Amino acid sequence: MKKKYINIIDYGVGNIFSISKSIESLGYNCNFVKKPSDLLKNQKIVLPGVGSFPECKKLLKKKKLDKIIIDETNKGTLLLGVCIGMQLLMDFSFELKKTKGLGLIKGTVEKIKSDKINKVPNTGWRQVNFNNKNFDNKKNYFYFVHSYKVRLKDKKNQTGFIKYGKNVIPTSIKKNNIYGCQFHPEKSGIDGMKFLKGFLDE
Amino acid sequence: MKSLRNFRFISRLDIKDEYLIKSINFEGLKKVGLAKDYALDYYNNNIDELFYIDGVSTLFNKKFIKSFLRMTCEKIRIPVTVGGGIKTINQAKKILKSGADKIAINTAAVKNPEIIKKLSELIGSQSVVSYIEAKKNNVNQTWDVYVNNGKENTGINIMNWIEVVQKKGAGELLITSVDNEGTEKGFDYELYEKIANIVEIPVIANGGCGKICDVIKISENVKVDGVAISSALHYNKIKIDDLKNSFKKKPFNIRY
Repeated sequence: MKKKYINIIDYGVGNIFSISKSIESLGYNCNFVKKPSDLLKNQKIVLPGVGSFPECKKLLKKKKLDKIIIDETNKGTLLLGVCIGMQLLMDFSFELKKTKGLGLIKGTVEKIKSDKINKVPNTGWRQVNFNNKNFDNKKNYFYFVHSYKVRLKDKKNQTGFIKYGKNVIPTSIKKNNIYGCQFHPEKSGIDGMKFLKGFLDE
Repeated sequence: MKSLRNFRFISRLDIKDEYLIKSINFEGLKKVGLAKDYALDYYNNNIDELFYIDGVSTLFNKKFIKSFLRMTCEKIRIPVTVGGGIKTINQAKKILKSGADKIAINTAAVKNPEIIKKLSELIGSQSVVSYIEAKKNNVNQTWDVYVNNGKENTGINIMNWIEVVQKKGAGELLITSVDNEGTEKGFDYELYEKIANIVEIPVIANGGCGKICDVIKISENVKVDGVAISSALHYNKIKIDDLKNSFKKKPFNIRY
């Protein structure tokens, strides 16, 4: 059987090496999308993101990748946003300055409230409460590293969360063909691979 | 739900070319073995994170990037921090592109703290680790910041320095006690206690860990967010499994 391709949006920041190696190890080929014409239509898209929201958005826009993501997903192509990639799905972020997101899922991005125990960035391994029966909520561990979190307008779009001090942090979201995860599946050991496989095989 | 403190176990690997090396108080380097074997072994045994540091600044030679960093990151699905001689934003980008998640900065930040600000704006605070070598100053009973593998005193007081790097946007502190490094006599508890009072971002303690009880002692008495262990793991004095199991009944969030 010929391997399927996964589009990975490659806009110049962050660690796409690890996510692409994870995807390849699950039996898929990666197609790196650096400019709009690189995109393979009707093939799943992964939108990674490391860095600050304004910087990520600026680069997406500069490379005209924001429009093609919106157009392609409007046709029903499945998309997974990872970390900042998930935050980019929202309407706005308030990181550093108010910046418009892709507006694919209704909501905003705001700073996590810290306290003495629950510091910001939220860094480390957390157990996620999933709606999804594929994961045992007492045994899973996912790796997080982020200072901002999404606030969803519609709670129905939340498929998993963690409690962190005073915060309830949505850790995975879904609206129709649009998926997102705040944790890094490519850095979350076996559980992360299972999550990623779930999306790729869908 | 009661809020438990999160605690991470990190393995620190000092690397030269493709070899794992180890020193005592940063003196007298010794080759331990092939670094990739150790990195993969720690990953397979459930370590939470890896910290690669190149104390002799061979970081940017092809051997390090190709035969070590890329090769291990291809197989390792946990976070990797890389430090040692990173001077420019472009070098940091290259490291991240090769599979690392966080950049540890020491000397370059002492020379110009703005690099922390620039890096955190570009790659995000969460990916910028301020790596600090601290040595006790017995005259004024505080700690000075050192660079160059604990050889060169910058004359900067650690408390002032932490305030600076926090303000510039560092997302984590990895603090090595130069006095305890490689001695396996336990952590410098006093140092981390002082720091815990002023710090707002996660702190990882490093230097001096020889036994599991050293880790338990620091976790119970000082508010640090994790430990980085080197020789005790390299020489098999601590097994990751045993270490994690010893935390089973303690009030921490641990990844098992």
